[in-house]
Amino acid sequence: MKIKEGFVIEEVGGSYLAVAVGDRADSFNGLVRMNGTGAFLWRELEKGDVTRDMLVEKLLSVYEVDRETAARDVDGFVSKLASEGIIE
Amino acid sequence: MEQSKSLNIEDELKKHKYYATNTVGTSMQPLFKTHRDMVIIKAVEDGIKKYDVVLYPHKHGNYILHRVIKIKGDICYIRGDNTFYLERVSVSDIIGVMVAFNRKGKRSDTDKFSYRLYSRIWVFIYPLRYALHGINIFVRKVYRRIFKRKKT
Repeated sequence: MKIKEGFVIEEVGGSYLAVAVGDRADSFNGLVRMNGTGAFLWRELEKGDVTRDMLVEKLLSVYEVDRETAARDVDGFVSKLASEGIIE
Repeated sequence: MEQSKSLNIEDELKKHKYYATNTVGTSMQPLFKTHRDMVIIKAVEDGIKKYDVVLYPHKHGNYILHRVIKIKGDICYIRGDNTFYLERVSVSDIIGVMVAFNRKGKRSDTDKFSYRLYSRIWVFIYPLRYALHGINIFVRKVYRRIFKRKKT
């Protein structure tokens, strides 16, 4: 999985906002709001070539959460991005 | 810069305090170019100051993001960085203030010295920009006339 080209993410007031720029703005005209965990996953997804299990492991290595919670967070976040057509 | 009203930015700002969008239009060039950059808007909390880039609904159904160049009482005089007309907007109609942006992939906050300096210089040189614009239009007119005469 990978975040498609053409998205910009910025932190403001403790939360994270992402929008599409350049050619991507023609096909995506929305705003994605995320918390810190979401932004962390977003950054990992930007690198590309990541699987769901890799994301879960990454979350576990940085945040003090149990595997079940981490998996639920990853699945929720990934399905949200997928439904909006942000990942490929 | 314009943004379609269908997104209902007012509700977004009320609910989340912050809103972000990519830039649309030519009126804020050279700072922003269509679809190249991202702006972050904050709901109005601490009032509006001169040089602020503010967001307000326009009568044609869009939102406009232009710069405040003068405040008199509760009226803001607003102009796009690349336009030559003044808009009079009531302070109460302004829904947001730009607090940060991402230009060509680089983040800037509007409280940063370099940005504040840029804002002041840009507003200060308006008479020069206006004069150059006038000369440009005049030269084009003259050229067109000469060109036409030669053709006929």
